[in-house]
Order: sequence, then C-alpha cells, then structure tokens
Amino acid sequence: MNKIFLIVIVALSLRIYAQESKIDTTAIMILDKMADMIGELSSCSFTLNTSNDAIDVDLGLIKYFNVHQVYMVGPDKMLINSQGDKGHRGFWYNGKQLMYYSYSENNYGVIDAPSDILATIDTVHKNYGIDFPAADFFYPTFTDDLIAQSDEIVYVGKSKVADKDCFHVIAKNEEMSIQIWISDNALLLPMKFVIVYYDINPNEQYEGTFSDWRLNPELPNAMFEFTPPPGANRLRLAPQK
Amino acid sequence: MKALKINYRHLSYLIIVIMLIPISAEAQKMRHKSGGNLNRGEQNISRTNVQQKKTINGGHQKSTNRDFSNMNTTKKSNLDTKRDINKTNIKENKKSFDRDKVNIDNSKRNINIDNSKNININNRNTIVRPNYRPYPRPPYVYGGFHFYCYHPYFYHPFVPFYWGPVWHPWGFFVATLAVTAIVISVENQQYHYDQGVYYIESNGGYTVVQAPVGATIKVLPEGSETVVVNETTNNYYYGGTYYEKTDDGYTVAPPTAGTIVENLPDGAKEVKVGDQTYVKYGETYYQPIQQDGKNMYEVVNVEEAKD
Repeated sequence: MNKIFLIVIVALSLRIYAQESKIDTTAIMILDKMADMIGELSSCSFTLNTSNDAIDVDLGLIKYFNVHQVYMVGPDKMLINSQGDKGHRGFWYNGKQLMYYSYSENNYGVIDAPSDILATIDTVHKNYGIDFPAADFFYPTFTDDLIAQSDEIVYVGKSKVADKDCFHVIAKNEEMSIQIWISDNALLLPMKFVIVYYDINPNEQYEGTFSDWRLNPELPNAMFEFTPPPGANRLRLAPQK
Repeated sequence: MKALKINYRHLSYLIIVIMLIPISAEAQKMRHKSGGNLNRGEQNISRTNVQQKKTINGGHQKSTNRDFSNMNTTKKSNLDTKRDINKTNIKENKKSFDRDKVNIDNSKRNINIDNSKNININNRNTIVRPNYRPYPRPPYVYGGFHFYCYHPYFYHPFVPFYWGPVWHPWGFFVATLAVTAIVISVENQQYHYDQGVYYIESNGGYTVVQAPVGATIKVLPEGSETVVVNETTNNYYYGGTYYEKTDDGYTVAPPTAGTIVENLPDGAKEVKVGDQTYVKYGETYYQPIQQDGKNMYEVVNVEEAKD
C-alpha cells in the first residue's frame, strides 16, 4: 500500500505544470499600450507609404506602391488622399456621406455612410471593397482581435525603422503573419507593418510605413467637405452585394 | 500504530491534493500578472472620456481576460487584414447585382407608358450575347460577378457621342414625327422608326424607347458604322443599337460580347465596379480599352460567379 502511494506521488511530481503559451505577454503589453494611446486620440494625421503585391497572369508577382495622406477627427470626420497605381484619388467623410473623387479620371461618387469613422470604414469596405490604409490599427478592439486570430504573438526584439528605435512584434496564424514595428518612445506609435499571406502561392505581401504622425492636430471641418469640380462626371459605385 | 497508518493515507491524499494545486495557481499568476501590468483602471477612464472628449475610435477596448492558455482561435475578429490583392474572390452570397434596370418588364402585355423615362417594354435590346471565341484573359472579379474582356482595361473618361439633331436618348418625348417615319411591328407592339430612333406612342406624342430586337429596317441610318464582332461576323452600329444584315434588310440585334465600338450614347452612365470604371448602357457593360492608340469600348461578358 505504501509503495503504491509512493509510486503515485512520484508519478504526479513528474507532471509538467507549465502549460505552453505562444502569446508573449511583452508583445501584448506593447500592443496594448499602443492601442491605448490611439484610443485616446481625438484627431490625428499621418502619411502611409504602402507597397502591395499582386499576381499578374502574364508577368507574375508585381509590387505596387502607393502614398496615402490620412486625416481623422473623432468621431466622424476623415480625409484620405491617395496616389499610386490606382491614380490620384481622395475620400472625404463628413459624418453623413463618403465622397470619392478621382483626380486622374475626373469622376466622383457619393455613398451614404454611418455616423462614425469605423462603422463607415467597415461598411464601405464590405459593400464596395474599398480598402482604407492601416484602418485595422484604429479598431477599438485591435489587440483583442489580434489575440483572437493568432496562434502566436511574439516580441521579436528591437529594430530600427526610419532612424527610430522600434519594438518588433509578430502575430501569426496559418494563413498569414502580421509584423508590427512600434516606436520605442513615450508615444508608442505604429511605425511600420508587414503582412505576409501564406495561403497564396507565391506568398504575397502588404507593407505599410507610417510617417509624419501628428497627434491631436486642430483640423478645420471644412477640409472634410467635398464639392465636385465643374465638369466632373458623377458615377455610380457598384456595390459588392 | 493504527493511528499512524491512517495518518499515512491521509498524508498521501494531502500530497496528491497539494500537487494538483500548482497548475491553477500558475494560471492565476499569469492572469494576475498581465492584469497588473495593463492597469485595468485605464479602461474605465477611457470609456467615460468618450463623452467628454470625442476620440477617433471611442477608446481602446480590451477584454480583462489575458489568459492565453485556452485560446479560441476560431473567434471572429474585427481585423480585416486581407488587402485588395488580385485573387479571385468568389463570394457565396449571390444576391443580385445592383443592375440599373432601364425598366424591362417581362410581361409582354404590360405596356405602361408615362412621360417619365420609366417605360416597361420587353425588347432585350441590351442583354449581351456571348461570343463563341474563348477568353484567353482571366476575368475581372467583383461583387460575385466575372467580367470577361479580350482587351485590357484602359480608362478614358466617358463623353456621350452626339449623333446629330435627330438622335434622342431613351425617354425623350417629341410631339410629332417627321414624314420619313415608318411603322414597324415587333411582337404585337407598334414602333415608330425615324432615322435610327424608335418611338412608341404616348400621351399625345411619341417617346423614345430602346430599339426592339427583331425590328427590321431596309436602310441603315446615316452615320452607321461597321463594327467587328468576330472574324466572320460584322454588325452595324448606330446610336447604341446593333444591326445584323439579314435577307429582309437590317435587323436589330443584341450586342455580342467582345464587339468594339468607339462611341456610346447619351444615357450611358459610368459605373465604378471595384477598381475599374465601366460604362453601362441599359444592361450592357462596356469596358474602356485602347486599340491601336485609339480610345474604344468593348462589350463585356458578365457572368455570375459559380462556386
């Protein structure tokens, strides 16, 4: 009887108590602080340089570069000015409508929009397939969502982006990995992100680099109103649904 | 001695129980640790701040549970990091595409005519016929539909073409017709035809309608041009209407996918379909293309995406 007890006790003691966790709490802490900071902003503006891959039937993998100037005033004003392979175009959101204008094509469209920035980004993206650069960072549940969709979140170490020291974090699942570089200073701003898609062959990448961050600037409401220039064609935007 | 034995058993039970404890204690430690670092208090503060200070996103919201031992990776996420990359996105939701119907009513007997541009007549004039030639290029995919074209997309702004003083867009009302007008009957409906424009009687005058498929005229309107459909077939094109040569003359035909025309009429509208801007005339989509340096339009073959 005693011997049996001894064996049981020994066996139990050999159990591994530490459960495997692939979520690095340092990484989460950094992401949370960044999201806290973004959550406190009442307005901001930044420049985002993006590059994205596309597969062309004849030419293979092609990279496209775009520059976006983004201005946001909470909760319901936004202006995005984009230049790149889709031409020069702009989006104006004033709390009621999202106006689209293509400088290159001189045509514009109007979409009725919900009453806050994120609902607008969501609705317009789902209904019209329009991508808003770096919108993910502004979702209030950013870190929670990243945790929910990742198998691993790891703090890789320190890195340098545009001469700024940054924390390098990677969140990964089977379909994609998201690398984020967050500035190592009091502000903890996102500086860069790279998404690699594993479910496409060859792996496509999407990269965005932030610059010229301005926190809580005073931006006049007038800049979020759009008036079509004379001679501009009004076009209808075909919804995806 | 007896007392000792009981103690031994109790002791071993106690040891087993003690060994079971550390696991949950460790998990609590993790939770507590992460809770401590992230300062839950801030979450409430940022929520109340929403009323006082209008933030961009209403403040960072985070769940209190930062326990990563039982991760549910199937939870739905708000993050949509899939960028617009050119892969075939076939949506399962096949709700019908928002087609700007120029009022085609399938009932042949229902001929509702009013002064506005809403005229219900079934004449299938702008529904595209497929081309027998296969498409070497993959389609442009958007909204559950595939857009097939032989030529690559090349945008040029749409400017309606002016076919002269006699040509009018659909819905245009005239009080009288020229003496050159003739009457053509198609499927029990009387049309008045004058120099490339088809009218039906309405409200004391005549209203322009789509050219009815099957209507035959003897002489093509002045200004008609020949357009190539494929190596063996030509169509004749005037004012948005296509004609085929037949034994009786020239018969109105629906457009064939792949046909290239230079000009589109008043009444056509630019439609932004995802990243590409097409011109839509009735039910027909035209893709702006460039052919030999000239700006042209190609009739698009639109197919609903199959799963």
